[in-house]
Amino acid sequence: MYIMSMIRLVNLTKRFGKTVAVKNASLEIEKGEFVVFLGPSGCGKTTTLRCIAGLENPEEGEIYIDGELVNDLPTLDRDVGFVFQHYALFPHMTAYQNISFPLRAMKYKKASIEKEVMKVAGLLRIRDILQLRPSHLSGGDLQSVALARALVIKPKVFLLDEPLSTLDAEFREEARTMIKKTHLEIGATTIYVTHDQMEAMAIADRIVTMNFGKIQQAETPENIYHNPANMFVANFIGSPGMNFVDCALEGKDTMKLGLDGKTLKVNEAIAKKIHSTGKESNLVMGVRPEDLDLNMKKNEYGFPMEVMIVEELGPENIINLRSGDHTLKVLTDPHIVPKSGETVWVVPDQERIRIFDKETQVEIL
Amino acid sequence: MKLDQAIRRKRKKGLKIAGQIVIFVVIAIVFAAYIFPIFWMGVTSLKTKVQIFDTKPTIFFKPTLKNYRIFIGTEESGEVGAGRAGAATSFIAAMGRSILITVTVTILSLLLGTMAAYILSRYKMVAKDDLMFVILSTRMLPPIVVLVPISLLFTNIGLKDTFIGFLLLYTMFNMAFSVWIMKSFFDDVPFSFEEAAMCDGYTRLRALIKVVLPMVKPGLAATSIFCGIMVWNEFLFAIVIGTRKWVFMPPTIFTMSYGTEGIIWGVLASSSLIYIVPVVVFVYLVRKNLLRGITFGVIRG
Amino acid sequence: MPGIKMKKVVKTFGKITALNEIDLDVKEGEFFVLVGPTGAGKTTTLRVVSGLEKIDTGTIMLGDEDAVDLSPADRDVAFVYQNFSLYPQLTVRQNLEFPLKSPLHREAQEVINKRVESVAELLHITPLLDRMPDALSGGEMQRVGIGRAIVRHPQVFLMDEPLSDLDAKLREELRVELRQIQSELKTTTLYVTHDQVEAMSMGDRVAVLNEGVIHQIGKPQEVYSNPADLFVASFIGLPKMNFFSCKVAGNGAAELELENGLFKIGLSNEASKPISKLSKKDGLILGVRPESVKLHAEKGTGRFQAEVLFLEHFGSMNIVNLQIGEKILKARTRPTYHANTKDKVWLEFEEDRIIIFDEDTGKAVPRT
Repeated sequence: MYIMSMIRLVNLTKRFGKTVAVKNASLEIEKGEFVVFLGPSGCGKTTTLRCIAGLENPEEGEIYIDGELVNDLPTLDRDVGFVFQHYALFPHMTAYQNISFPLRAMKYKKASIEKEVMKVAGLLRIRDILQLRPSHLSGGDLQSVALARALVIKPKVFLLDEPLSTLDAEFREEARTMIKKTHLEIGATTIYVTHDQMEAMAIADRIVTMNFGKIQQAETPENIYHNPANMFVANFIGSPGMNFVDCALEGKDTMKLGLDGKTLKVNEAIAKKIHSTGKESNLVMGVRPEDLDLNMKKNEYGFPMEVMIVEELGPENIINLRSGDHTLKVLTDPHIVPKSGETVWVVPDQERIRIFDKETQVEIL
Repeated sequence: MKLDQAIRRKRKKGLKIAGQIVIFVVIAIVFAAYIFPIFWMGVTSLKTKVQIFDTKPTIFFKPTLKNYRIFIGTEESGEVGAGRAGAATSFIAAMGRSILITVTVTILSLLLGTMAAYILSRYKMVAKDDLMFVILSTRMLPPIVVLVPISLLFTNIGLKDTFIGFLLLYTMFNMAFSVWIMKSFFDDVPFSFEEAAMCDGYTRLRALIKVVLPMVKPGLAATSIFCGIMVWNEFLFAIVIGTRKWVFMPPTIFTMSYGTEGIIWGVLASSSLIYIVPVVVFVYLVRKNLLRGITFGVIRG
Repeated sequence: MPGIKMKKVVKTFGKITALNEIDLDVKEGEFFVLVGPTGAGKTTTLRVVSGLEKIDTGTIMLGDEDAVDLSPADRDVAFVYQNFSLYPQLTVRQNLEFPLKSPLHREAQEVINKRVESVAELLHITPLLDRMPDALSGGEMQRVGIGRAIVRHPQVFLMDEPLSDLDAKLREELRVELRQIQSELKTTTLYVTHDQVEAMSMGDRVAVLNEGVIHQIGKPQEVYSNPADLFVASFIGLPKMNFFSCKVAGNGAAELELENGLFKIGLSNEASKPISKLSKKDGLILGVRPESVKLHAEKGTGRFQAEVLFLEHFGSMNIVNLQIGEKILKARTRPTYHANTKDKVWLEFEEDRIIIFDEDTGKAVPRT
């Protein structure tokens, strides 16, 4: 039996004047899935979300919610709950009134309104602030009230637009865990928009990466991390992102690097694979910072670079290296603290090297 | 399914076009309603007395510039101004006086209002909201209520029929608008702009002039238009306090349009029409500056 | 390049005490980070050092000079704001020139041009020089804002959360660039942020501030490994440190009972010495960071059991959310670690990374 997906986008395109905000976006989201739209500012993620909600009208393409074509349906008929980035709470109403607002608009009876509001308030632990106005609430509470207001109508789809961006860094972890727990308990299909890849990695069932209006890759966090489809995804995901060095294959086992002519020895397996693709130059080598080792002594399977800045973050260090105009980041244990100006040899884990085509930026190995 | 969608989409497009036509028609009607009186004034100003009183209003007729010649003063008409006692002066002179008072009052209101608004925007004050309210309250009374007391006051102080008297009076009328509009524009400019300039070594005043004022240009434009139009059109106090020497255009149009046999429509039309022209020109010149928010920030997706 | 010395600085706004006897000593050429939650008093500290606010009592010295009566212009400090304050009616180049045209500087146009160009190169914004601010992205605007501060060659940089409005990725890049630029210019810098990762990454030294009071000053690693009190321990470090209520079980502090008997851990003689010296045996809190919680598949000495709730995959590491009874704790593991919800695992705390706090005072018990 064919189980219909909860949300389906087919060739969605949205323009603002001459700018194309979303280009040919096609996606299917299953019921109960927690999907994160991830990308830099201006990539189209919020616009896509707003199209699904009905707050924007796409120029082309179709949007299906629970099998129904909703392009011509106004927002209130789409059964979606929307949490805005800046909450959009009514300042002259109490938290209780804000949360009950959608229910009152739908003419629920007073008794059932109270029941539903208290249920949601209990879930989000905001029972004791229900009588306060937004001006008296902390950032975290405001966010919980906004969440409650979206949840109270038990929507089919739950849409959140960068809900944590206004919170201080220290509250984001808690709030994020709370949203994830709420999802685990209620199981609503959720789309969450953010530019913070750490957030995305932590809570997503699937991450949909976007750039310049186009969907780049839509897969589980693990897959996106270990098998990025192109250079944008590889660099955007990961803290810090993947390092890239121009390279070309020379001979049987040597790569010439775009770092002032330095060379790197690679094992045969890699050389063979590159050879078999037919393309041996105009390549880009990608290695993640945690897959690079630092050696004090010369190593053929590595290349030398100068230490610039060491960031000691506590549980780990980021070593920033430089060669001419190129920079590289290496993730190490906290006890590795080279001195600024020192030369060290960077040795990549051969099993974890990825190769990209320089022009298309797509992965070929 | 696909055909159904295609039909739905076409219908949607059709509705869109129909909607746009309706909006266009509505705007055309409203526009016509505004423009027609002025158009009719123009037509009337080119008619002779006989043509004006013709029972069949016509648009096609033989135009005459007589009313305009009377305006400039090259044609004498014993009728003009004969119906009312009082200072019947030349139109041109009255126009000159109107221009003078409008420009000076506008500049003065702008200057004082902006300075007051800046202080009110930037500094902490006890009961600031109350003060703002008091300033606004000066415009809550219909001016006619204070007509008699001010007229008497001016006579006693010796400000009646003087340039200074009008300057003070009109500026006072304008302060409420000036302060309120400029304060709201200043409030929109974050104080960090001046602070950054002060850290760089600018004094507060220079920071205000070089940094903040360029950013509130729309406010200055809006205020000058409001104040200017207010003074330009002011009739009540002009006719009561401007008795002999300082007779401005609105009272002049009024008195000069009264003839021995009633209102001289032609002259009324021509003089009013000419009087509108400077305002239209001014607003046209300033129109770009009325656009707000051209500068701050980039839109994010 | 002078240092900044603040002694017993107090600043009140009406009834609110924003700064409560702040003592700060920023050395010459140091990149000093003031970190704390919103409302802690960080921005007030910057404004007081810059001269934009006056203090109630205390002294502020810039180098050897008493700065208290100096105007902001005379203090020769440059402010970088969180919300880009670029003059919207000027081009990028004109924005960069602006500080150099002030009454205080009055440089020749040639000198100005040279400086503007060298700063633009340093910040990689040379192609943007003739653009208007509304044609710039957030990151570009912030670079210009930093450039405008640098172009004056001031004695001190004061930066108020300049990166917090930027995308996460951009923040990662810019914080290294900013640090690199500062270390080349060697300008004394006081940098304020609420993001403790930024503080750890950028500071030569950091000060943790809360409600107008400084809790600890030290090198980032020092503050991370040896927090002075509960506030510092919970504010610094992501994910947050795990905390358990703690009681000495007997045996001269060799055994600790956690969470009212939920589980027990044993300590070696070395580790138990400082605790045995304490007069109170109850009302303590044990803190241990997620990376110091070790997971094992089997039972062993000193290990106790917990159940897996869910895993968070971050690519370069995993965070395992575990549950013991009602209590939730987090452990940090290699990315290859795998476990399913409801799996049972055995936990062990790395002994030399455990910190004991007094619940009443909040202060940490020193390890020696």
